[in-house]
Amino acid sequence: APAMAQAKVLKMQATWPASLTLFDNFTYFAERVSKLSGGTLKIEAMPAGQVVPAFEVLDATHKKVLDGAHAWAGYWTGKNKTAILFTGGPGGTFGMDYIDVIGWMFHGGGLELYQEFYQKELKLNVVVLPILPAGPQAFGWFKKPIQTIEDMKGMKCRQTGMAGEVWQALGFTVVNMPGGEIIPAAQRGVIDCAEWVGGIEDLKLGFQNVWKYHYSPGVHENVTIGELIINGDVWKDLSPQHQEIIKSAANEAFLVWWSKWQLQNADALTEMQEKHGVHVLLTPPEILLAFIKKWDEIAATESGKNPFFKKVHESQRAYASKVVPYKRFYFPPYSFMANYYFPPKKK
Amino acid sequence: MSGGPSPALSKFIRSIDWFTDRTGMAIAWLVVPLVGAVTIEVVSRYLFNAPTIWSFDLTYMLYGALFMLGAAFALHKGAHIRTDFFWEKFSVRKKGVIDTISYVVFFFPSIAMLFIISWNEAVYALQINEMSDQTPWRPILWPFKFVVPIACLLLMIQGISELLKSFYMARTGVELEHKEKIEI
Amino acid sequence: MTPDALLGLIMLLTLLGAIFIGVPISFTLLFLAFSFGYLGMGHVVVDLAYFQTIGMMKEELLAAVPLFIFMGFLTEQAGLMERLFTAFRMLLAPMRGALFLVVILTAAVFAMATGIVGAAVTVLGIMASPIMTKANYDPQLSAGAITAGGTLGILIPPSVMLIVMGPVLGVSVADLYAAAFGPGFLLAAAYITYLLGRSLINPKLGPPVPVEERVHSLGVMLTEVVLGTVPLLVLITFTLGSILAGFATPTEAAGVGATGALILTLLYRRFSWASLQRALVSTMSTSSMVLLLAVTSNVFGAVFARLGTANWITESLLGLQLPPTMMLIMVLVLIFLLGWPFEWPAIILVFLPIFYPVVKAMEVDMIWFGALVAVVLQTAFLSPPVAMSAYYLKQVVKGWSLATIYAGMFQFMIIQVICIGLIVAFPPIATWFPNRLLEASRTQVIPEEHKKILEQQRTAPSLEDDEYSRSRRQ
Ligand code: NA
Ligand code: NA
Repeated sequence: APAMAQAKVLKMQATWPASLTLFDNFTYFAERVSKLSGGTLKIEAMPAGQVVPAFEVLDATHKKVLDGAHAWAGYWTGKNKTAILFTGGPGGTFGMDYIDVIGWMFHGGGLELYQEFYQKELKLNVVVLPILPAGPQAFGWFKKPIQTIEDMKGMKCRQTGMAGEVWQALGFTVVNMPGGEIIPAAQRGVIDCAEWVGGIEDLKLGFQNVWKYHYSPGVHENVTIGELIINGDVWKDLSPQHQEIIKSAANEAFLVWWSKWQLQNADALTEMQEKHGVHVLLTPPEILLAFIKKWDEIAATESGKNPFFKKVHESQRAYASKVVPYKRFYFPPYSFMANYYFPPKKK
Repeated sequence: MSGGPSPALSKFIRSIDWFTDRTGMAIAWLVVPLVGAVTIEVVSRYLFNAPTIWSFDLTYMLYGALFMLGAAFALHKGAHIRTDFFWEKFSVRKKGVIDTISYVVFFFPSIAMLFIISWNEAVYALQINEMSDQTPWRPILWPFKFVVPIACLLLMIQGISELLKSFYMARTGVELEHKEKIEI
Repeated sequence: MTPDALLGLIMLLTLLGAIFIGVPISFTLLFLAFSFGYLGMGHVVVDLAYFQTIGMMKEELLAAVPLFIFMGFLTEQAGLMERLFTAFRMLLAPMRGALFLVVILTAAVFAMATGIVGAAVTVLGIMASPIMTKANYDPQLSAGAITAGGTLGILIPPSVMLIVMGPVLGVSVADLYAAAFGPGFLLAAAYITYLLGRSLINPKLGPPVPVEERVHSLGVMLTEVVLGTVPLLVLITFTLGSILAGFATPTEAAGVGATGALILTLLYRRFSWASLQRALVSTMSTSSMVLLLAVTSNVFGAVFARLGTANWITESLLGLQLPPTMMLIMVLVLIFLLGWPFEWPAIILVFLPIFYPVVKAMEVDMIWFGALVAVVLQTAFLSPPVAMSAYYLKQVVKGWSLATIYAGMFQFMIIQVICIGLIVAFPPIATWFPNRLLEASRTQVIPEEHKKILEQQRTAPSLEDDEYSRSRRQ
């Protein structure tokens, strides 16, 4: 008990409700910090809205209304579009997968750019760490099967953020609505398709009750990384040991949560098909290709007007140009072994 | 005291009320583009399968501006609810005392602090040219963010008039203006 | 209990005191949040207030609040309710207790066109009370019927109260709307049963409309019924139909409804710039009051949560180890008791978030719970001595004393309690309709054309690396 009395408590808030598996990443991190520090450092992990509305957590952490936040940089593209690149970016950015993008962060100067982005570009007093690998995300749910990019043009889809911008540029009908209204809107026909997360999260939201066509993969968030933001003064006030504990716990949460999540998603995929009669289908490559092309155009335009965007994008390209070809040579394709052991069932 | 407030005071209060009346009536017209934006969205989506790119952003911006900027007018009309469990039974003088204290202690300090903070936030949004990220339209956000300090300013202006009225009520026991309950 | 949590508890008690005295609630909430928040977390509490404000301003869903209020004011101005009342009266004239039935039917239909209470009670008071008095209807029962019928406006969708409640309970407004129909119609039916039952047993309470006042020409009657009901029914179908049948989100339906109401005022030649300006200004004031209270109570709630008091209350309540039904009844009783001194916005925005974690922890169906809370709060409108409906009615009917109105309302409160008990005992009253809507989309059949596409897609080449896929097929 005396140790408890001295414990330093950091109040942090997420951008998601406690019901999402994304929130488990946050509580796992908090638990590890407490254990690693022998109870001398505690993280109070609060769900969205408890102290500030979800999308105000970055400004709130800067102002020290919160000591920290569990968020996703894609929410800050209104401040500066470079933000999307720190999530891994659409298309994984130059074909990088999760470990490549994390490699870029730790060994390719990415994490320094990430700090520079918040501290110099946005002039926010925060420190940032990658923590939440919430992907790859599914292409989405559809009212009817889709074959070509033309099929999608007549449909009204709930899309958000940069992905929504790409779809809009491709001429699609993008509809936005608050998260809680997605399923009722789908149920009642306001929208014909929607992108959410995939796997267990989609099952929790209840898409399987409304639509029966679930497509994957997507390339809009095939690598998408959530962040832990900490107020700069709070960070400086921490002992070096506590700082190291936070860094390690964030990395551990990244790995341990992600592996568990993939298992949960595997179970969810089975449940979708066997219990709810969902058709799980592969996204037509043509659609994904169109998306990547349009994203490249948008990224090139943005690079033209936004020097910092260009700097980060170039840094990612340079790093990717090393590791992506290397991996293609050394890594056996996932599908090769998958097809050998678990050939897709032909019904 | 009898014969009402001094002409100068009376004129001062009336000019503030006049100002809030005029601005309030103008702000109320934001309802019209709000109705328009939403209706156009639904019509163009269902009749022409061509939803607008701007409706969503415009809808929350107009709604947010409407209720924030309308707060001063609502204050003037006595629309901000209070519990009349005991209130109705209080004498005019007692009401005046309670209101004077609550304006001086509760109202002005809170709204003034909110004004300062929201002003800084709006200036920051202007500096980084912040845009909305709720839709692909991405309109600039700083005019919307300036709504908050402006609303605080309008509230404080009307607050002065209300404080003077309450103070007058506390001193003389005479009601300068009767406020009716509004419907909810 | 931590010192901070204690601070939050003192803050809550101070709030109760201040509100009781009659200080405007919004500014009290803000001030208390600032001063207690300052003690607990320092000057950043003002930044917190700002983030809550701008966050609320970005809630597109809440744009439905001013839109539905505007629609209500326009419908009132178009005189649609008067037409409806006259039509029903002609139609039902020969019945015992006819005017009771007319009042409740008019109120129930009008409830589907307006989202607030005041309009219905006021208009019914002006129209029905002179006729009822002249026809020797029992004043208590008449006042009760008007006030009870009028409060249906806040329960039966569209309802500003349900729009505000949706995000607080974390459920969709469209689902809450679907869940409120059952209880709304149950109440209307219970009112009618009670009123007609009483008039059958004792015809003096509600005699039929005198023969000389009845309309005998079938043509006149038909015209009036058609003109009186059709436009309003079209408007209702437009707005509620568009939410339920799948054209629009609640906000969009509200916007379309407002446009529809505006067209109706034009068609009925009730449009004037002055009355439009009045409707606009009333809409702004009412919305501003509700939504500013929403902002300030969110600030208060955030400070309350950050001080740790909310958690403490939840844990203490859960520590009581009551069975879920008992806990639920206790929460409902508390909400009802709070409904006496407080208006619904304060209850939903300030107190409901305090009970929410307790109810959530019991794994109660939130849509059902939302419907129950809505009925309980509607009851609060009817609970003397602090009941808005009584004031609205008293303002327009000087002939009825507050005591008469209260006596009438009290009878209807008993009906409310019985209906709440029924909804607790039989949740499907609320949940059947939303579940039916869900079931309808769940049991969809796959069309033949889709089956073909599916077949093709299953055999289509995938995104796999070309070379390896080819080697696999060899
Ligand atoms: Na997503
Ligand atoms: Na209603």
